[in-house]
Amino acid sequence: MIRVPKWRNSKGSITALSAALAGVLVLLGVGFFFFCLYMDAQKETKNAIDAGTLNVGKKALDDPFELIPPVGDKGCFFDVTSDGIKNDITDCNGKMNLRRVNRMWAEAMLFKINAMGADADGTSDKGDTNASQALTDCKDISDSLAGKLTDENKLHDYFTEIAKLNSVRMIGQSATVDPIPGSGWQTAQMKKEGESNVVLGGSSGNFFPPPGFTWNSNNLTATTRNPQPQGSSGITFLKGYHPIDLGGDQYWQVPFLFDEKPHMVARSDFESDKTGPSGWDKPVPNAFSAEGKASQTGKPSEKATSWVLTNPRQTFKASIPTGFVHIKIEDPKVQYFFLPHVGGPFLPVGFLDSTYGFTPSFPTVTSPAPIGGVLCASTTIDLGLGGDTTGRSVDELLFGYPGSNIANLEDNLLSRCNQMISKPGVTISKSALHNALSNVENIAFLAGGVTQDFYLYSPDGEHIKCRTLALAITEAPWLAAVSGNDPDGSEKSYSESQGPGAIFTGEAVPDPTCTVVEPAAPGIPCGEEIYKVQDFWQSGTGYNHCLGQVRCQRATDCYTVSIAVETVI
Amino acid sequence: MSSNSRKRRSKKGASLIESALAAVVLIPIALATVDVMTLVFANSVNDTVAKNCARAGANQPNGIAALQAANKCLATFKTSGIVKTIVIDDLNYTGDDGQCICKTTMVVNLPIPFPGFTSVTFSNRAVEAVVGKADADNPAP
Repeated sequence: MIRVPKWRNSKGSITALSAALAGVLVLLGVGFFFFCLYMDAQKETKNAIDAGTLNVGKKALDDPFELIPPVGDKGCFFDVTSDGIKNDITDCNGKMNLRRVNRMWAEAMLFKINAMGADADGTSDKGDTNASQALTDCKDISDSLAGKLTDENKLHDYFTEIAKLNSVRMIGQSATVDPIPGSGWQTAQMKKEGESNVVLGGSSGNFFPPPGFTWNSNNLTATTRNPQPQGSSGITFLKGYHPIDLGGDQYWQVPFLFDEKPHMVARSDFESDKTGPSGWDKPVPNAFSAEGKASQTGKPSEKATSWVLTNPRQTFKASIPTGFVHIKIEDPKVQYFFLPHVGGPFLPVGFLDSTYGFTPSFPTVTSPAPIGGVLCASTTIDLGLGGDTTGRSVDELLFGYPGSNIANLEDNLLSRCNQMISKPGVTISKSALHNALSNVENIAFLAGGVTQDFYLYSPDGEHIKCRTLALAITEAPWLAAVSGNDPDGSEKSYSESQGPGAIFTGEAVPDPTCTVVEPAAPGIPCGEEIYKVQDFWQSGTGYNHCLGQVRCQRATDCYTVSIAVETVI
Repeated sequence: MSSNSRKRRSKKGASLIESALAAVVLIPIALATVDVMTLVFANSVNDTVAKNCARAGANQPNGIAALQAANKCLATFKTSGIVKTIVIDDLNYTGDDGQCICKTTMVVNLPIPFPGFTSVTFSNRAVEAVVGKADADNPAP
């Protein structure tokens, strides 16, 4: 039997294989295409969420906010509800937000520092109470602001504002980005111990504190950025998320590193800083997270979370912009002392309430009989008063001859003047203080008897001036409402001194049977004026805008020596 | 017996023809897949360019600096035989609104051109919040 081999029919085998392969290829290709679309969609979604979150960080600086009224409760902080540094009250809108919150804490801190200085001086009076009230008010505002910043509903719109504008077409042509409410929206307190955006005036070694107060260097820092950015050299900032302990009270700052822009941060960094600083119950946050999704009906959606650290990128100086010092020049007094008998003592004789002015005066004064000198019935003297007040500026009246021991008053005024300055980097030196007090226009007002009250203030946050109220108001309208406020401390005498002045002539009338030997003849000098000056300082915390009051009392004591002897017949 | 011989067709070359036919289908599919992958990748690059340029511009203090920064960022993306051109169509720095909007256009040459289908143009837009605007009244000390 012949076996015929059975050949398999191989027709179409490659075709079938190729068809199968083509099908697999197409499937793989389509699958890979959709996979790439999905990955791209993920990237687009992340980009959109990042952009939205960055906008949240940026806009959270200005809104939400707490409203502060211009007067009354919490009104002491109204003058820092602006982003300007020109002490222009019209710039203030009463909105306390994340951008400005450090200004408020710094101002409360200055009230306390002034109270502590007054405590050390024994002149605190109501200053401590006011400083405590300011701290309470500051905390209330800060806590309320923190509550609003942690309320995600207030931030959703800022997220959507930018996120929706970014393309997510890999999801679908009409896909949109929306926030996902819930646990993806959180806050954190990052960069603890880093610098805040509030600087002190002066430099390390002298920040012009009031006498009796010393800065704890642990509360201050240079920029913590590495490398240090340009312009940061020599600048001292308050520390952020660090308890600034002043007399047992804690003050706070939020860290905003110098010249750093709002930027995205890593999740791990954010998560590790979600716990606030120890001691601050309701810390104001400086970092936010946001969660959103890109979706289109009927298609798979993508979601993502981003984290942002915000920064207003704006530096402020610790200041009390609408603070002022009241300077009152009292009517100069004159007292007369006549030597009643040999060996003294000198006794004041009448005329205790006499005053003189700021122009020369030439009174003729007669001692009342019978006391006028040794064996003199009376003495008539021709005075020239006003040598210590005529043509003298406020500066000369306060600190000029015979002034001495002026350091304490000078330091208090210097400290207060620097607290009025709002522009970072500007310091008021001693010479600038004296220049302001030497304003020549005030000489005319004194000489003309127009006023003896002057105000030391900063019209622009950068300079200080000493002017009458009428003129000061033209530059600082806010003074009109607060100029009548008294400082909340008690008054203390600073700098009492005296020195020789002009000599004067006179004529003595002897007792009966006596002959005048001193002055030898009319027109011969028989007495001397002694100039005196006493400055009083009444401390103010600035809580009611008054940072203090200086009262200057000038006086002239006129000592007359008239001697007569028994006439030898 | 002779009729059976005449009826038996020659099978020589049948596989070759089947392979050729299969190749006519398979090769275009494979090449098209390469083109599609290139397009997907190019779109992703365009997205990245738009985003990075918008972010770079948003970090600047004014419109002129924003455009310079965006152009500098664009320069880091090199053209090639496949990415023919990539340009910034428009950079809108609306400082008042606080947005930087960057529109980019990328022309991609298909690595395997098909008749009438040699290049594709991609456009994209990215929007970023401006964070670089400094306050003129209160610069850093």
